[in-house]
Amino acid sequence: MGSRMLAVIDSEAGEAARAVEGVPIWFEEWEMALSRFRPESELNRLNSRAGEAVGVSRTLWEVFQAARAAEAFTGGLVRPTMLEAILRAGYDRTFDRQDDEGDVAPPVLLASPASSLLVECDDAGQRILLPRGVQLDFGGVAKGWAAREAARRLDAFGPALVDAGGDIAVSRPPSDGAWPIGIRDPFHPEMNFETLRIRSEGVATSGTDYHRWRRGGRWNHHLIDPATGLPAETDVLTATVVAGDVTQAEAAAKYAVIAGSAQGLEWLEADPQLAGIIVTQTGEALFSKGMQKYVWRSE
Amino acid sequence: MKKKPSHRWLDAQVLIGTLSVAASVGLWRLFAAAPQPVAAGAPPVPTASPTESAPVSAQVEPLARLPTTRILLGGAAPRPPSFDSGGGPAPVTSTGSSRP
Repeated sequence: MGSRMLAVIDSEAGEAARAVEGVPIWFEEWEMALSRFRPESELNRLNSRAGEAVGVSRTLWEVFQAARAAEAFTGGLVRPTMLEAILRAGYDRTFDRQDDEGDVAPPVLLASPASSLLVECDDAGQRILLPRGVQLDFGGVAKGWAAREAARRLDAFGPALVDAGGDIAVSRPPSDGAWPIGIRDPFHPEMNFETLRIRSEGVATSGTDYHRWRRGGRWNHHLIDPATGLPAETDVLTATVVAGDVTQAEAAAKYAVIAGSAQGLEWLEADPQLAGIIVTQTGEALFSKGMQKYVWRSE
Repeated sequence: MKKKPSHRWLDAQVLIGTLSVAASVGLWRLFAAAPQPVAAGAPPVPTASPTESAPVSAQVEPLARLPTTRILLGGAAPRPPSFDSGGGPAPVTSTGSSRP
């Protein structure tokens, strides 16, 4: 998934250590199903067969359902049907292979990307029928789902934490009460500017600080505003969200980046299940009221 | 035969005369100056009163002059990212934009 992964079990048992060693195999399996950067992936096969009902694996089915839930949850702002816009913005290769100032189609105003909620699904047969012209890209939802699924599997050996490129799932509290999780300072990525006290929630960060590239004299990033089909023009550099579930936290963090700091903070505060910290391009850190209970202060 | 007055006495007389004229002219100017007219109903000279409230200006300061930090929608006071790891123990991991 093009990201660093970490799995931890709060146990000293040998079987727990062996379980952790198996995590990379799970991620490789999920990558083969969900990555658009693997030509032979199940997702690419589905995207190439728009217009026909295609049976999919349980993994792809669950991630697609999580992506649809994220779209509904964010009022359509975060949706998995933006692949064409993402490619036009220049995100056509894994980010470690991204180079600045390469050729890219000029940004154009696209028709509003289709809603994944309108994609026909056969629940009984786990089949998906993409309309012609529609392609899927799961992005962060896939990472969040993978983190949650791995944490759930590892929980058989003890309280587990899985970090999939900054999307962090925990199965339950560790023996000492809470997992300490840092929030990276986007201006000094080698440092944290806060530490969170997480018991059983999910945490995710989205931002334009790292996934960006320069094309045609302007900076682009991968967070597309569905209203324009272009990289969102936003005053937010990063948004970190704590939610009951990591896929929900991931979608909420993207919402805050795309919507901008004022609307993003208002939206986070309107939902008592969400808490967040928004760091703006100018270096302000805006804490939602619900964040107080998660920030780890020295006693 | 009258004794001729001395020069010293004449000098004293001239000096006394000069001083008298100067004093007369000075006192004349002092008392002959016309009194300042006071118009009926003229507004009093404004004076500051400690009990008066300061006048309120309706002029709105341009946004550009506001401080750069803002409080948005009830969030805690904004602050620039501090460069310590916050309180608590060393983190198990960190969240941030995904990196390879």
